Amino acid sequence: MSFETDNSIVNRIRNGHSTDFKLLIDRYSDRIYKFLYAKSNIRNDIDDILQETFLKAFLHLHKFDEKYQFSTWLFTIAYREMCRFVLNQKNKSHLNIELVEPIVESKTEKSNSGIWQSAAKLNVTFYTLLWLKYHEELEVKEIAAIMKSSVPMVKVNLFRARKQLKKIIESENKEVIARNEEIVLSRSSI
Amino acid sequence: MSQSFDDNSIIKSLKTERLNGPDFTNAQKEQLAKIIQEKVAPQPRESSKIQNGVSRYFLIASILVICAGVIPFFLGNSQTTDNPVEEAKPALAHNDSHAKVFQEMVEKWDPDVLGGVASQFFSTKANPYASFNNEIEALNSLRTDILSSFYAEFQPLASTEQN
Repeated sequence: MSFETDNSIVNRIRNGHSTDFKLLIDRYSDRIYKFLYAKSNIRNDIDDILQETFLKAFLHLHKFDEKYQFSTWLFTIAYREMCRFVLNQKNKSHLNIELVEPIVESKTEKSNSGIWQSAAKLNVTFYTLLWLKYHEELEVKEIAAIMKSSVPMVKVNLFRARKQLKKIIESENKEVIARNEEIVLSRSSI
Repeated sequence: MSQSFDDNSIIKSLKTERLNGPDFTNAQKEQLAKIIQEKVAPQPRESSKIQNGVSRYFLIASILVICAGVIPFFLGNSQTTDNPVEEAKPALAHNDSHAKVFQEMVEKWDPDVLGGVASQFFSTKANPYASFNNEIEALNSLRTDILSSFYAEFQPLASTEQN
């Protein structure tokens, strides 16, 4: 069976075969899901963000420009949705965030690889840049299209993101013993 | 991870390490597709009829409300009102020194008393200030007390205009 291109599926959906959207969900939902999942502090909202991403993609499919990759367009929507959710999260009270984050941390310990667990602590822009560049292995040009930025700016921000990630990792290593002691103490007190 | 990190080792880790999180299962994909289809599917016929009916009534009601507000506005512009002072006010909006003086008088004086004066003063609607002196003369037939007050305000202006 020959591989059907994204644009071919998109055209069929545009011509009224809306159920074929399931093919695009099958193709891309796992990639978008992992992209969202790695950013651990939005994990409680992943289903909503994923749903909104695909819903918006479906509703605005007529706006999709075929000169771009469908995956690039989809990541653009997912990135914006993630930004929106993070912004909403920031608007919540500081107390609520403090209550949520330790629960998420305990999940990430088991599920995330070390580097991406640390990368999840970066801001959304830096995290997305690293994910698209090194996990999705997209070209800088494609990343620039997703982030609505320029190629030089993407390169500069990639460097900044790595630099910040390095600081995070170093800080984690320095504090790891103290943190372990704190966790042990807090668990024993519970 | 090692204790010391340079940029290359971070890039290598980012490239090689993969997220060990759960996959998005086929069941979840099915569920997502179902949700999307439900959200974008057209409404059932009955409910869409009701919605159309409601929005149609809402539209008609909105038009009626707008007409109720707009039609009297246009009618009001083509008909004389009962209150000549109120009728005179739009005309007084002209950048005219006489009009400004008269407007101040209208605002100061009792509208009931002034009403009769105003109705005569603005009898020439097309250009109420064109024959200012003639209108002043017309006021002679009115009561003396109003006339004297009027002259006290308007005589200096009238004489200036004559000069």
